[in-house]
Amino acid sequence: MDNSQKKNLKKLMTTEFYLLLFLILVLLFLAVFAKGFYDLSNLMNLLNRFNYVLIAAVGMNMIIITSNIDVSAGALVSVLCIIAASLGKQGLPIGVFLPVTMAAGAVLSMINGLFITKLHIPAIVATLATTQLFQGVLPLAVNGSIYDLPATFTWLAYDAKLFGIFPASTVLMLVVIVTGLLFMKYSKFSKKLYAIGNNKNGARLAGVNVDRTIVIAYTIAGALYGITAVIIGTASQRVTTTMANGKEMTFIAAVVLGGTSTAGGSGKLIGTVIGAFILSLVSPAINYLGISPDWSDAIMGGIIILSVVASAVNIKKKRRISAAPGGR
Amino acid sequence: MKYLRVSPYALEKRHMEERREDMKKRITALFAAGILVVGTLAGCGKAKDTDTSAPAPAQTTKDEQSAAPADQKDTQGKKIKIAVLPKMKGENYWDACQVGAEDAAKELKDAGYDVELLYDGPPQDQATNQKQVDLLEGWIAQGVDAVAVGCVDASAISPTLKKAQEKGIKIVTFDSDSEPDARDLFINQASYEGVAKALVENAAAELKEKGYGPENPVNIAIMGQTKTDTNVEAWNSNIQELIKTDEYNWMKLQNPDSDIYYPGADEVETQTQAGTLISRMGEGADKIQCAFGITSMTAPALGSQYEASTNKPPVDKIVLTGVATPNALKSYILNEQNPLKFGVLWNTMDLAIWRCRRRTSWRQEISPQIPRR
Repeated sequence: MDNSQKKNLKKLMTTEFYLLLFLILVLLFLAVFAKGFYDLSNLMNLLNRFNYVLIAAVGMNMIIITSNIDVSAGALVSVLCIIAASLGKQGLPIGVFLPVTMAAGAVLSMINGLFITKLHIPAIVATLATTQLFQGVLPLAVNGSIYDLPATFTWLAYDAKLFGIFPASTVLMLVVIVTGLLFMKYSKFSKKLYAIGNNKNGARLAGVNVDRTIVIAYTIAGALYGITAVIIGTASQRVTTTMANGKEMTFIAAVVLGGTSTAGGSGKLIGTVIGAFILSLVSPAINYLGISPDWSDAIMGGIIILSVVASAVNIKKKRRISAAPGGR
Repeated sequence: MKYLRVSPYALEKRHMEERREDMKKRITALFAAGILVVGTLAGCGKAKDTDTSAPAPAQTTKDEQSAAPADQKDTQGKKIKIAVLPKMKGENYWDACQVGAEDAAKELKDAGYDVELLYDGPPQDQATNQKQVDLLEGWIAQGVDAVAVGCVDASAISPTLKKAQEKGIKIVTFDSDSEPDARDLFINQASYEGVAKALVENAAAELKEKGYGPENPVNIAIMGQTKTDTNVEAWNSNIQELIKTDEYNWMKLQNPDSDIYYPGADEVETQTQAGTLISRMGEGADKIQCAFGITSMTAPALGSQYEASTNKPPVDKIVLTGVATPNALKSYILNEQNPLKFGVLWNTMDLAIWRCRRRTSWRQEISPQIPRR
């Protein structure tokens, strides 16, 4: 094997590659042991869950690449669900409440970004504070839930099917993910995100407007949370004030599992896609395997730890190579 | 005990009225039983005695038997604070309880009592014992006169309830009981066996209509909420007992690990797991033909996930049902393409009315003129 072939092979052995391998193994395992798992209805159910996790995770991925974090995502999505539901309750169609919810998400998430950049509050503290704020305001505005939502509201989940098969949220997901992949690969903006995550001061010295970039990242993420909120909210005729609380951990887990380092500056969106898919798979897979659902969280945690350890080992190896005399 | 079998026909007015009559009779009977209990309670209770300046024992017994004016005298000038603590706030079933409690409080006010109703509970995804204890502690400190609790966790909440009792606060549990020595009264809106029986009986009837029976057995699945719900778990185990009897042993629970769902109090998780369950339903021995959603969250979730499902299991081959308010199920029941055709429930608002009035005028309660909505 000559050198260039070895190089190509090395290039292939990325975190994403291992993840994909793992995913394929899991899928094969399920094909053998989980009878009926590949039923169309289960796959579509799984796809719907994957859609909303992934859309939010795309936003979360951008934030984490800048070495920030957003733990308010779950609470924010809950707020957005209620906004969508209160509009939907008036009989407004999705053409109205989807953009409004996205705009509201963008504005509210921008506040996070402003706290972090203008007031120099660490991201985890700022977003923890806004989590409390979002959770605190909701019960004042709504008494627990909005229910008896009309058919125009649940249209997305109940009636809108692409080719009569795929949940319509798939269209939203595809639009987001294709735009996201292109954007993260070719836009100048994405280079800035990575630069900030790698070395904030370096980026600043290189002429990147760090604060503005971070605020924009949060704003875009907020708009994506809006889409997630609409998918989650329209799943039934009732929207509660705590709809997505705790979901931020799923979003973050999808990103981390996908190989994006919480230290920032590295990670690919395609990894997040696989990460989100694996996480969406766990709970139904366990049910189809006939195992008690109590295992679901433990298995998810195990997978994440495995992935984090694997990528940590990988990074260490790379450093050793580059530190060695004559190493690349 | 009579249950509401919510069906399109039941939505007709005539049936509604019939049902109301039944309900009145039932409630009256319950009151009569309740009075016996409360008679004993009042005999040894101190809370009410300290409330009033009047000589206590004679007065309290008089309350129960004499007319309302005596009662009025008894409580004049003294605000009665009644706190109601549901398992969770802002959910169809519990909102109905709240409406009932508020109605009762208003009625008492109209009757000249100075009643203050405090209604608060944990938000839905935080329906934990800790949140309930926090609220209780606050009310104990405030010095309320009575607390009505629907317990999330029977054993964990009992120490706090006992502490409240020591301060002279009357404790009533409803919907889901605490440990028996931690409360003065448990209002059981429907017997555990009764709810399970109503569910299984009606589901069996529908399954038979759809061609199942002893020769053509079915697999069932159950959706609870959390493993600590006293009432839900009691229904759950009663359903499992019932399907072992000769009459229903053609309904089989194949694997308790995967066929009993505990999605927790999270709405999205409930929807997701209901979706998984729906995708496991259909014809055949490896599929599930009948699903019980035995909480007010899981029953509508089954209906809504059926609507959302791609490649729906045929409507004439499966049965969905559960415990929920008619309001939460009506759109699915009215949709002919949805296999969810009935739900089981007691009348929530009456439950709340009954509960709230316990400490005051009993005379009024047993009278047949219970105002209804």
